[in-house]
Amino acid sequence: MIQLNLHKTLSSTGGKMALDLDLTIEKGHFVTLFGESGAGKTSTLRMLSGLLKPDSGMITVGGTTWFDSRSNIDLKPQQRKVGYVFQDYALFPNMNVRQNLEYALQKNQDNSIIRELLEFAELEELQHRKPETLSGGQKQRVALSRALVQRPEILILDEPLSALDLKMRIKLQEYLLQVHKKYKLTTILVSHDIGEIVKLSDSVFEIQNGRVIKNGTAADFFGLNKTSAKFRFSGEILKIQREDVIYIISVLIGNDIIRVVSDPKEAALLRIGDQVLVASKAFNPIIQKL
Amino acid sequence: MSIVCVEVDNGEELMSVVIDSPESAPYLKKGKKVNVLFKEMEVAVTTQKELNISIENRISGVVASVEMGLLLSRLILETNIGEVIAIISTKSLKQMELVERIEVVIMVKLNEIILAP
Repeated sequence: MIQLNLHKTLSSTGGKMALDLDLTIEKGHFVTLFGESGAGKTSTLRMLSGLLKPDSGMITVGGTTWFDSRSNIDLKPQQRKVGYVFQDYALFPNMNVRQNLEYALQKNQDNSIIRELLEFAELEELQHRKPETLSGGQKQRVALSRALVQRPEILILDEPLSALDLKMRIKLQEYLLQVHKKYKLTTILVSHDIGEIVKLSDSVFEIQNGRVIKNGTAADFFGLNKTSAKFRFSGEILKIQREDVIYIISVLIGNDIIRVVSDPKEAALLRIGDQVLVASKAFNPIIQKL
Repeated sequence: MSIVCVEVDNGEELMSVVIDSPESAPYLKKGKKVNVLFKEMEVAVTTQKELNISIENRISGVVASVEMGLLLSRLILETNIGEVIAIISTKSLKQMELVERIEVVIMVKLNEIILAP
Protein backbone atom coordinates (compact mmCIF):
# COMPACT_ATOMS: atom_id res chain seq x y z
CA MET A 1 0.00 0.00 0.00
CA ILE A 2 1.21 3.48 -0.86
CA GLN A 3 0.21 6.32 1.45
CA LEU A 4 0.87 9.87 0.44
CA ASN A 5 0.31 12.91 2.56
CA LEU A 6 1.91 15.79 0.74
CA HIS A 7 2.05 19.54 1.22
CA LYS A 8 3.91 21.72 -1.22
CA THR A 9 3.56 25.24 -2.57
CA LEU A 10 3.95 25.04 -6.32
CA SER A 11 4.65 27.93 -8.64
CA SER A 12 3.26 27.79 -12.11
CA THR A 13 2.40 30.22 -14.89
CA GLY A 14 -0.97 30.78 -13.23
CA GLY A 15 0.66 31.84 -9.94
CA LYS A 16 1.18 29.88 -6.73
CA MET A 17 -0.82 26.81 -5.81
CA ALA A 18 -0.90 24.96 -2.51
CA LEU A 19 -0.80 21.23 -3.11
CA ASP A 20 -2.44 19.47 -0.20
CA LEU A 21 -2.96 15.86 -1.01
CA ASP A 22 -3.99 12.66 0.76
CA LEU A 23 -3.88 9.54 -1.34
CA THR A 24 -3.90 5.82 -0.58
CA ILE A 25 -3.17 3.32 -3.32
CA GLU A 26 -3.53 -0.42 -2.77
CA LYS A 27 -0.59 -2.63 -3.65
CA GLY A 28 -0.95 -4.22 -7.07
CA HIS A 29 -3.58 -1.76 -8.27
CA PHE A 30 -3.50 0.14 -11.52
CA VAL A 31 -4.69 3.67 -10.77
CA THR A 32 -5.05 6.83 -12.80
CA LEU A 33 -4.58 10.43 -11.75
CA PHE A 34 -7.00 12.48 -13.79
CA GLY A 35 -7.36 16.22 -14.02
CA GLU A 36 -6.46 19.37 -15.89
CA SER A 37 -2.90 20.37 -16.71
CA GLY A 38 -1.37 22.16 -13.75
CA ALA A 39 -3.62 20.42 -11.20
CA GLY A 40 -0.61 18.85 -9.47
CA LYS A 41 -0.57 15.33 -10.94
CA THR A 42 3.01 15.36 -12.22
CA SER A 43 4.25 17.16 -9.09
CA THR A 44 2.67 14.43 -6.97
CA LEU A 45 4.43 11.72 -8.97
CA ARG A 46 7.74 13.59 -8.84
CA MET A 47 7.43 13.77 -5.05
CA LEU A 48 6.66 10.05 -4.87
CA SER A 49 9.72 9.23 -6.95
CA GLY A 50 11.98 11.60 -5.02
CA LEU A 51 12.56 14.10 -7.84
CA LEU A 52 10.76 16.87 -5.95
CA LYS A 53 10.84 17.45 -2.19
CA PRO A 54 7.55 18.13 -0.40
CA ASP A 55 7.45 21.08 2.02
CA SER A 56 6.01 18.68 4.57
CA GLY A 57 4.18 15.41 4.82
CA MET A 58 4.82 11.70 4.64
CA ILE A 59 5.26 8.98 2.04
CA THR A 60 5.09 5.35 3.08
CA VAL A 61 5.24 2.40 0.71
CA GLY A 62 4.43 -1.08 1.98
CA GLY A 63 5.13 -0.02 5.56
CA THR A 64 8.51 1.59 4.75
CA THR A 65 8.85 5.33 5.16
CA TRP A 66 10.29 7.00 2.07
CA PHE A 67 9.74 10.53 3.26
CA ASP A 68 8.81 12.04 6.59
CA SER A 69 9.42 15.73 7.11
CA ARG A 70 9.09 15.41 10.89
CA SER A 71 11.78 12.76 11.35
CA ASN A 72 13.89 14.04 8.45
CA ILE A 73 13.59 10.88 6.37
CA ASP A 74 14.04 11.47 2.64
CA LEU A 75 15.16 8.50 0.55
CA LYS A 76 17.10 9.35 -2.59
CA PRO A 77 15.38 8.61 -5.93
CA GLN A 78 17.65 5.61 -6.54
CA GLN A 79 16.68 4.14 -3.16
CA ARG A 80 13.00 4.27 -4.04
CA LYS A 81 11.72 1.37 -6.08
CA VAL A 82 10.03 3.48 -8.73
CA GLY A 83 10.14 3.21 -12.52
CA TYR A 84 9.24 6.40 -14.33
CA VAL A 85 8.08 6.64 -17.94
CA PHE A 86 7.64 10.06 -19.54
CA GLN A 87 5.62 11.11 -22.56
CA ASP A 88 8.77 12.16 -24.45
CA TYR A 89 10.57 8.83 -23.79
CA ALA A 90 13.72 10.58 -22.40
CA LEU A 91 16.05 8.03 -23.99
CA PHE A 92 19.79 8.71 -24.31
CA PRO A 93 20.25 9.51 -28.01
CA ASN A 94 23.90 8.50 -28.11
CA MET A 95 23.24 4.99 -26.76
CA ASN A 96 21.60 2.09 -28.54
CA VAL A 97 18.55 0.29 -27.16
CA ARG A 98 20.53 -2.23 -25.13
CA GLN A 99 22.87 0.45 -23.73
CA ASN A 100 19.88 2.55 -22.70
CA LEU A 101 18.66 -0.38 -20.64
CA GLU A 102 22.08 -1.30 -19.28
CA TYR A 103 22.62 2.26 -18.10
CA ALA A 104 19.79 1.73 -15.63
CA LEU A 105 21.43 -1.32 -14.02
CA GLN A 106 22.44 -0.86 -10.41
CA LYS A 107 25.95 -1.66 -9.24
CA ASN A 108 26.46 -5.42 -9.08
CA GLN A 109 22.98 -6.08 -10.48
CA ASP A 110 22.68 -9.29 -12.48
CA ASN A 111 22.23 -8.26 -16.10
CA SER A 112 19.99 -11.19 -17.06
CA ILE A 113 17.07 -8.80 -16.60
CA ILE A 114 18.18 -6.95 -19.76
CA ARG A 115 17.68 -9.99 -21.96
CA GLU A 116 14.38 -10.79 -20.30
CA LEU A 117 13.06 -7.27 -20.85
CA LEU A 118 14.29 -7.05 -24.45
CA GLU A 119 12.59 -10.34 -25.16
CA PHE A 120 9.34 -9.43 -23.42
CA ALA A 121 9.15 -6.10 -25.26
CA GLU A 122 10.08 -7.79 -28.57
CA LEU A 123 13.07 -5.47 -28.86
CA GLU A 124 15.79 -8.10 -29.38
CA GLU A 125 16.17 -7.36 -33.08
CA LEU A 126 16.33 -3.64 -32.41
CA GLN A 127 18.79 -3.80 -29.52
CA HIS A 128 21.71 -2.30 -31.46
CA ARG A 129 19.69 0.54 -32.99
CA LYS A 130 19.88 4.15 -31.77
CA PRO A 131 16.62 5.73 -30.51
CA GLU A 132 16.40 8.13 -33.48
CA THR A 133 15.91 5.20 -35.85
CA LEU A 134 12.93 3.84 -33.90
CA SER A 135 9.21 4.57 -34.24
CA GLY A 136 7.34 6.28 -31.39
CA GLY A 137 5.86 2.99 -30.21
CA GLN A 138 9.26 1.28 -30.23
CA LYS A 139 10.86 4.16 -28.34
CA GLN A 140 8.15 3.97 -25.71
CA ARG A 141 8.70 0.21 -25.33
CA VAL A 142 12.40 0.93 -24.76
CA ALA A 143 11.56 3.62 -22.20
CA LEU A 144 9.18 1.26 -20.44
CA SER A 145 11.72 -1.58 -20.42
CA ARG A 146 14.38 0.75 -19.05
CA ALA A 147 12.01 1.77 -16.24
CA LEU A 148 11.72 -1.92 -15.28
CA VAL A 149 15.44 -2.72 -15.17
CA GLN A 150 15.75 -2.10 -11.43
CA ARG A 151 12.67 -4.23 -10.78
CA PRO A 152 10.57 -1.41 -9.33
CA GLU A 153 7.52 -2.01 -7.19
CA ILE A 154 5.85 1.12 -8.49
CA LEU A 155 5.60 2.08 -12.13
CA ILE A 156 4.75 5.69 -12.97
CA LEU A 157 3.40 6.40 -16.43
CA ASP A 158 3.08 10.13 -17.10
CA GLU A 159 0.96 10.42 -20.26
CA PRO A 160 3.03 7.65 -21.81
CA LEU A 161 0.95 7.11 -24.94
CA SER A 162 -0.33 10.58 -25.76
CA ALA A 163 2.27 11.17 -28.51
CA LEU A 164 1.34 7.98 -30.35
CA ASP A 165 -1.23 7.29 -33.03
CA LEU A 166 -4.36 5.39 -32.11
CA LYS A 167 -3.33 1.98 -33.44
CA MET A 168 -0.03 2.05 -31.59
CA ARG A 169 -1.77 3.35 -28.47
CA ILE A 170 -4.17 0.43 -28.37
CA LYS A 171 -1.31 -2.03 -28.85
CA LEU A 172 0.75 -0.44 -26.09
CA GLN A 173 -2.25 -0.31 -23.73
CA GLU A 174 -2.37 -4.10 -23.95
CA TYR A 175 1.36 -4.20 -23.36
CA LEU A 176 1.08 -1.95 -20.29
CA LEU A 177 -1.50 -4.30 -18.80
CA GLN A 178 0.76 -7.30 -19.44
CA VAL A 179 3.72 -5.53 -17.84
CA HIS A 180 1.60 -4.50 -14.85
CA LYS A 181 0.54 -8.10 -14.24
CA LYS A 182 3.80 -9.89 -15.05
CA TYR A 183 5.94 -7.72 -12.77
CA LYS A 184 3.23 -7.45 -10.07
CA LEU A 185 3.51 -3.69 -10.13
CA THR A 186 1.52 -0.95 -8.52
CA THR A 187 1.05 1.29 -11.52
CA ILE A 188 0.12 4.98 -11.49
CA LEU A 189 -0.95 6.48 -14.79
CA VAL A 190 -1.58 10.06 -15.81
CA SER A 191 -3.91 10.17 -18.78
CA HIS A 192 -6.67 12.29 -20.29
CA ASP A 193 -8.06 9.57 -22.54
CA ILE A 194 -11.20 8.21 -20.89
CA GLY A 195 -11.29 5.07 -23.04
CA GLU A 196 -7.69 4.35 -22.07
CA ILE A 197 -8.35 5.04 -18.38
CA VAL A 198 -11.37 2.75 -18.27
CA LYS A 199 -9.50 0.02 -20.10
CA LEU A 200 -6.40 0.11 -17.90
CA SER A 201 -7.25 1.26 -14.41
CA ASP A 202 -8.83 -0.23 -11.33
CA SER A 203 -9.55 3.18 -9.89
CA VAL A 204 -9.31 6.87 -10.70
CA PHE A 205 -8.41 9.89 -8.56
CA GLU A 206 -9.40 13.29 -9.86
CA ILE A 207 -7.03 16.06 -8.84
CA GLN A 208 -7.96 19.71 -9.00
CA ASN A 209 -5.92 22.62 -7.63
CA GLY A 210 -3.63 20.26 -5.73
CA ARG A 211 -6.40 18.29 -4.03
CA VAL A 212 -8.15 14.99 -4.62
CA ILE A 213 -11.74 15.99 -5.33
CA LYS A 214 -13.20 12.66 -6.44
CA ASN A 215 -12.28 9.00 -6.65
CA GLY A 216 -13.88 5.72 -7.58
CA THR A 217 -13.59 2.70 -9.81
CA ALA A 218 -13.00 3.71 -13.42
CA ALA A 219 -16.47 2.69 -14.63
CA ASP A 220 -18.22 4.40 -11.70
CA PHE A 221 -16.03 7.46 -11.98
CA PHE A 222 -17.09 8.25 -15.52
CA GLY A 223 -20.71 7.35 -14.92
CA LEU A 224 -20.58 4.23 -17.05
CA ASN A 225 -22.41 2.30 -14.37
CA LYS A 226 -25.09 4.91 -13.99
CA THR A 227 -27.55 3.28 -16.35
CA SER A 228 -28.98 -0.19 -16.51
CA ALA A 229 -27.91 -0.28 -20.18
CA LYS A 230 -25.52 -3.19 -20.73
CA PHE A 231 -24.47 -2.53 -24.33
CA ARG A 232 -22.23 0.40 -23.64
CA PHE A 233 -18.96 1.88 -24.77
CA SER A 234 -17.05 5.09 -24.35
CA GLY A 235 -15.54 6.91 -27.28
CA GLU A 236 -14.78 10.19 -28.94
CA ILE A 237 -17.02 12.19 -31.27
CA LEU A 238 -15.55 12.47 -34.76
CA LYS A 239 -18.42 13.98 -36.71
CA ILE A 240 -21.83 15.58 -36.10
CA GLN A 241 -24.01 15.69 -39.14
CA ARG A 242 -27.59 16.85 -39.59
CA GLU A 243 -29.86 14.68 -41.67
CA ASP A 244 -33.54 15.40 -42.06
CA VAL A 245 -34.97 16.13 -38.58
CA ILE A 246 -32.23 14.27 -36.70
CA TYR A 247 -28.45 14.28 -36.25
CA ILE A 248 -26.05 11.44 -36.94
CA ILE A 249 -23.11 11.34 -34.54
CA SER A 250 -19.99 9.38 -35.55
CA VAL A 251 -18.10 8.04 -32.54
CA LEU A 252 -14.68 6.43 -32.50
CA ILE A 253 -14.75 3.42 -30.17
CA GLY A 254 -11.45 1.57 -30.11
CA ASN A 255 -10.64 1.04 -33.77
CA ASP A 256 -14.22 1.23 -34.95
CA ILE A 257 -16.34 4.16 -35.92
CA ILE A 258 -19.96 3.68 -34.98
CA ARG A 259 -22.86 5.96 -35.77
CA VAL A 260 -25.62 6.95 -33.42
CA VAL A 261 -28.78 8.87 -34.19
CA SER A 262 -29.41 11.81 -31.90
CA ASP A 263 -32.24 14.24 -31.39
CA PRO A 264 -31.33 17.90 -32.21
CA LYS A 265 -31.83 18.79 -28.54
CA GLU A 266 -29.12 16.33 -27.47
CA ALA A 267 -26.88 16.99 -30.46
CA ALA A 268 -26.75 20.68 -29.52
CA LEU A 269 -24.84 19.71 -26.36
CA LEU A 270 -22.22 17.68 -28.22
CA ARG A 271 -18.97 18.84 -29.84
CA ILE A 272 -16.40 17.09 -32.00
CA GLY A 273 -13.70 15.68 -29.73
CA ASP A 274 -16.07 15.18 -26.77
CA GLN A 275 -15.70 11.94 -24.85
CA VAL A 276 -19.08 10.24 -24.75
CA LEU A 277 -20.86 7.18 -23.46
CA VAL A 278 -22.84 5.21 -26.03
CA ALA A 279 -25.38 2.84 -24.54
CA SER A 280 -28.25 0.66 -25.51
CA LYS A 281 -30.13 -2.10 -23.78
CA ALA A 282 -28.82 -5.64 -23.88
CA PHE A 283 -32.15 -6.59 -25.43
CA ASN A 284 -31.65 -4.58 -28.60
CA PRO A 285 -28.48 -5.58 -30.47
CA ILE A 286 -28.61 -8.55 -32.75
CA ILE A 287 -25.79 -11.07 -32.54
CA GLN A 288 -24.57 -13.23 -35.40
CA LYS A 289 -21.75 -15.71 -35.71
CA LEU A 290 -19.07 -14.58 -38.15
CA MET B 1 -33.76 -10.52 -15.06
CA SER B 2 -36.42 -8.24 -13.62
CA ILE B 3 -39.41 -6.29 -14.76
CA VAL B 4 -39.41 -2.99 -12.93
CA CYS B 5 -42.41 -0.67 -12.50
CA VAL B 6 -41.47 2.97 -12.15
CA GLU B 7 -43.96 5.52 -10.92
CA VAL B 8 -43.40 8.73 -12.86
CA ASP B 9 -45.17 12.11 -12.70
CA ASN B 10 -48.93 12.36 -12.18
CA GLY B 11 -49.44 8.74 -11.20
CA GLU B 12 -48.30 7.39 -14.54
CA GLU B 13 -46.33 4.15 -14.53
CA LEU B 14 -43.61 2.91 -16.85
CA MET B 15 -42.39 -0.67 -17.05
CA SER B 16 -38.87 -1.74 -17.93
CA VAL B 17 -37.23 -5.12 -18.35
CA VAL B 18 -33.59 -5.25 -17.21
CA ILE B 19 -31.03 -8.06 -17.04
CA ASP B 20 -30.23 -7.09 -13.44
CA SER B 21 -31.90 -8.41 -10.34
CA PRO B 22 -32.16 -6.77 -6.91
CA GLU B 23 -29.17 -8.95 -5.90
CA SER B 24 -26.92 -7.79 -8.76
CA ALA B 25 -28.05 -4.16 -8.75
CA PRO B 26 -28.71 -2.69 -5.29
CA TYR B 27 -30.64 0.25 -6.76
CA LEU B 28 -33.51 -2.10 -7.64
CA LYS B 29 -35.35 -1.44 -4.42
CA LYS B 30 -38.89 -0.27 -3.83
CA GLY B 31 -38.97 3.47 -3.29
CA LYS B 32 -35.52 4.13 -4.79
CA LYS B 33 -35.42 7.07 -7.20
CA VAL B 34 -34.37 6.39 -10.79
CA ASN B 35 -34.34 8.30 -14.04
CA VAL B 36 -36.08 6.72 -16.98
CA LEU B 37 -34.52 7.05 -20.44
CA PHE B 38 -35.81 6.06 -23.83
CA LYS B 39 -34.88 6.99 -27.35
CA GLU B 40 -37.08 9.34 -29.38
CA MET B 41 -37.02 6.84 -32.26
CA GLU B 42 -38.60 4.18 -30.04
CA VAL B 43 -41.72 6.18 -29.26
CA ALA B 44 -44.74 4.95 -31.20
CA VAL B 45 -47.73 7.23 -31.59
CA THR B 46 -51.37 6.23 -32.01
CA THR B 47 -54.64 8.10 -32.17
CA GLN B 48 -56.58 5.04 -30.96
CA LYS B 49 -57.07 5.07 -27.19
CA GLU B 50 -57.70 1.33 -26.82
CA LEU B 51 -55.38 -0.69 -28.96
CA ASN B 52 -54.94 -4.42 -28.64
CA ILE B 53 -51.17 -4.49 -28.90
CA SER B 54 -48.24 -5.90 -26.88
CA ILE B 55 -46.75 -2.55 -25.95
CA GLU B 56 -46.85 -2.13 -22.20
CA ASN B 57 -46.12 1.55 -21.73
CA ARG B 58 -48.85 3.94 -22.86
CA ILE B 59 -49.27 7.58 -21.97
CA SER B 60 -51.80 9.97 -23.42
CA GLY B 61 -50.82 13.38 -24.67
CA VAL B 62 -51.36 16.13 -27.19
CA VAL B 63 -49.26 17.01 -30.23
CA ALA B 64 -47.62 20.35 -29.40
CA SER B 65 -45.55 20.78 -32.53
CA VAL B 66 -44.62 19.00 -35.73
CA GLU B 67 -41.43 19.30 -37.72
CA MET B 68 -41.87 17.47 -40.98
CA GLY B 69 -38.76 16.18 -42.76
CA LEU B 70 -38.45 14.36 -46.05
CA LEU B 71 -38.23 10.89 -44.48
CA LEU B 72 -38.66 11.42 -40.78
CA SER B 73 -40.71 13.82 -38.71
CA ARG B 74 -40.25 15.07 -35.19
CA LEU B 75 -43.21 15.52 -32.88
CA ILE B 76 -43.14 17.29 -29.56
CA LEU B 77 -45.89 15.90 -27.37
CA GLU B 78 -47.28 17.25 -24.13
CA THR B 79 -48.06 14.37 -21.83
CA ASN B 80 -48.75 13.65 -18.18
CA ILE B 81 -45.05 12.91 -17.70
CA GLY B 82 -43.94 16.12 -19.41
CA GLU B 83 -42.64 16.81 -22.87
CA VAL B 84 -41.88 13.74 -24.95
CA ILE B 85 -40.26 13.79 -28.36
CA ALA B 86 -41.25 11.17 -30.93
CA ILE B 87 -39.51 10.66 -34.23
CA ILE B 88 -41.71 8.80 -36.69
CA SER B 89 -41.74 8.40 -40.45
CA THR B 90 -43.18 11.24 -42.49
CA LYS B 91 -45.25 8.60 -44.24
CA SER B 92 -47.01 7.71 -40.96
CA LEU B 93 -47.37 11.37 -40.05
CA LYS B 94 -49.26 12.03 -43.29
CA GLN B 95 -51.26 8.81 -43.20
CA MET B 96 -52.42 9.51 -39.63
CA GLU B 97 -52.94 13.20 -40.39
CA LEU B 98 -51.10 14.21 -37.26
CA VAL B 99 -51.16 17.95 -36.68
CA GLU B 100 -50.92 20.22 -33.66
CA ARG B 101 -53.52 19.80 -30.88
CA ILE B 102 -54.46 16.25 -31.88
CA GLU B 103 -54.85 13.90 -28.92
CA VAL B 104 -52.64 10.84 -29.10
CA VAL B 105 -51.29 7.99 -27.00
CA ILE B 106 -47.55 7.35 -27.02
CA MET B 107 -46.25 3.82 -26.61
CA VAL B 108 -42.85 2.44 -25.69
CA LYS B 109 -42.00 -1.27 -25.38
CA LEU B 110 -40.58 -2.29 -22.02
CA ASN B 111 -37.28 -3.46 -23.51
CA GLU B 112 -36.59 0.10 -24.68
CA ILE B 113 -36.68 1.71 -21.24
CA ILE B 114 -33.30 2.29 -19.60
CA LEU B 115 -33.15 2.96 -15.87
CA ALA B 116 -30.54 5.36 -14.55
CA PRO B 117 -30.16 5.28 -10.77
